[in-house]
Amino acid sequence: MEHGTFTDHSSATFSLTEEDHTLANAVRFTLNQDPRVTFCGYSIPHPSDARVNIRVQTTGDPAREVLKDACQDLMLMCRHVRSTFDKAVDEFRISNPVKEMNIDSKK
Amino acid sequence: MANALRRVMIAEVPTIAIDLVEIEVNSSVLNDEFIAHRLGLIPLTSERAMSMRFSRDCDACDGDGQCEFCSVEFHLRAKCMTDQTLDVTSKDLYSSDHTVVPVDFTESAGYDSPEQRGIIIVKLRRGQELRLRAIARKGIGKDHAKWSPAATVTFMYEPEIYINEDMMETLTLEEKMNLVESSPTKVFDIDPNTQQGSWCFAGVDVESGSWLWDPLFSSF
Repeated sequence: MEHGTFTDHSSATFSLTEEDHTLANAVRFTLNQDPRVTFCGYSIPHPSDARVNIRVQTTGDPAREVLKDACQDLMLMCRHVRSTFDKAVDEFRISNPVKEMNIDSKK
Repeated sequence: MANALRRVMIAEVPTIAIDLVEIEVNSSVLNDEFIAHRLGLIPLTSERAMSMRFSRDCDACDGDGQCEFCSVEFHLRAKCMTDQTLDVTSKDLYSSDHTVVPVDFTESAGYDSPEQRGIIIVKLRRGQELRLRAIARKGIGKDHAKWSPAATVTFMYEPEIYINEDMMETLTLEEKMNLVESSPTKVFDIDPNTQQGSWCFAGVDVESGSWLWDPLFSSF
């Protein structure tokens, strides 16, 4: 859901349902890295309500595009973390072939 | 970003835990819902959790959420026949799927003298019996803590400290000793032979990210 004027697309508040600090703080961080953003922040109107308001103000670009780009960047970051982690785990497994702690002894 | 990972690890990684318990006979000292609560908290091996569907999303079962795609069935039968107290543990839970079983905490070396018999659910006296059927489903920690796979998750930021080697060369030994002593938490050390300084990570106060400098070296 997007709140904002229909004429000025460079500032908008996005209301996301079923989200909390987990996503909002990470998106806010990536938004801050974008040079087109003049202001960004998030708030949670009420803790019992799973809703997050993200405010984005840009230097002219439509706010929703900037938000989309920030989400894509976050996805790339997570992908990188994931592949680095997988590689590190594989290397560890190769260099430590001695039996790992196997909790499924019933198998 | 790191905090988001921490939050997801605690609350949103899916696991399998017992969710529905049908008790046929219970003559133990604990009441039915007590035992059901304890059963829910037993950790189950959850490699299958990623391929399973949530019960509410499953369209293969006829609405009761008990088909093989979204649930795993367990049963437990225990009756105490002897005068000795019978411990009903998680090892007495028999699963219909051999990949989803209560986690086995026994050390492989087995050097702990009392043999670990799994998590104790209830203790029975002579004549007391417990018979039940349990359904385990996939869930996430947000719904109920029994589905949280992590005991505790923490992280810490590592500060990057660079010692300017060129400037170190211009210091006399006495000035270097002053630098070493200036840190209240013994961060620096100096090798007396080579007169090279080094620093130990453990002494850095990570929360404030700084330590008191000897004002002579404020240019570092």
